[in-house]
Amino acid sequence: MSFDAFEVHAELHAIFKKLDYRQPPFSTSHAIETLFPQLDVIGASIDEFARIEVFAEPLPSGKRAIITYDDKSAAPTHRFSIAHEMAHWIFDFRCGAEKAHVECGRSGGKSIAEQRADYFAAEFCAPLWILDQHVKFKLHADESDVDDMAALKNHTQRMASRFNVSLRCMQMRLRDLSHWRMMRRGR
Amino acid sequence: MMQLAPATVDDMTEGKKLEKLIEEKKLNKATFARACGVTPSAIRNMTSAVEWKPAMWATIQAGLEKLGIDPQELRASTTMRRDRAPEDLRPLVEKFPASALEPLRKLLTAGDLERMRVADYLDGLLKGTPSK
Repeated sequence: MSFDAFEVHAELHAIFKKLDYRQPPFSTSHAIETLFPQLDVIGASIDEFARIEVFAEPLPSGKRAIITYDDKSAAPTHRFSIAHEMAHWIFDFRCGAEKAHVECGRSGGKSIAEQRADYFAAEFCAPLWILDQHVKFKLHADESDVDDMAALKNHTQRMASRFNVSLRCMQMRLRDLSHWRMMRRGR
Repeated sequence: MMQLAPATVDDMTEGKKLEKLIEEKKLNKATFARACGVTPSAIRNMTSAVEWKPAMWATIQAGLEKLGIDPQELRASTTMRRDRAPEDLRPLVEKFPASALEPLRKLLTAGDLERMRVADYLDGLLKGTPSK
């Protein structure tokens, strides 16, 4: 069982269009303030990366949910975590229409909802169709060539800074981009 | 002259809702303060707030749970978390000689109380002042 990637992409395209997002980095705070004013976002010292608490009734301020992220983490990690929680708000709580999260199955170690939220966050922070336009370097380095490996790491770091995501996140996105390019070429 | 309708629970500030719950459960503010691990003046701040900040709500939740009261009575909510991957501690096992593996397993599978005593003893050893 898996989630519907088309549904995620349709939502992302709608968000990017409404916000006129064309060039990175893509602000999560601007997206929430503009499109999801029922959400509050705060930083706090917590044990997990982030969480979303969705209330059955609006709070006195009118907010319906609070996203809390770990303020000890680096900014690129916050951004990914906030986008991840935003996905729960959009897909699992239907922007407040669902008062409680309905478990939608499990595949491997992570629930479908968590996998979908990770996918949404990765595509929000570094969408492949935009990343593709920025990546002009070759995505594979010869592991026995120290200079080649160092050059790839430099390119990856530069891309991570441009999209304001963590180095680990960009490494994963470049791997995804490599698969995506192969699929486009029909391989 | 226009008459105002009496305030319903929905119209109340969050602080008033807490005050009402404390009354209903026949608690007093000092008991609630102890359960929350805060001073009575912190409870006054909670009961006078229109809406709680997340840290304050976390304290209230912890206090209510300690008293066996479901926090959902105040704020019905669902929480989803983005957890960190648990730290892989397996490489630490390699630091123990083979003869220590059986005692190590015994320590890991001991009850809470025994493990707490061992932790205290270990703290003492690390500080150079072993406790009995």
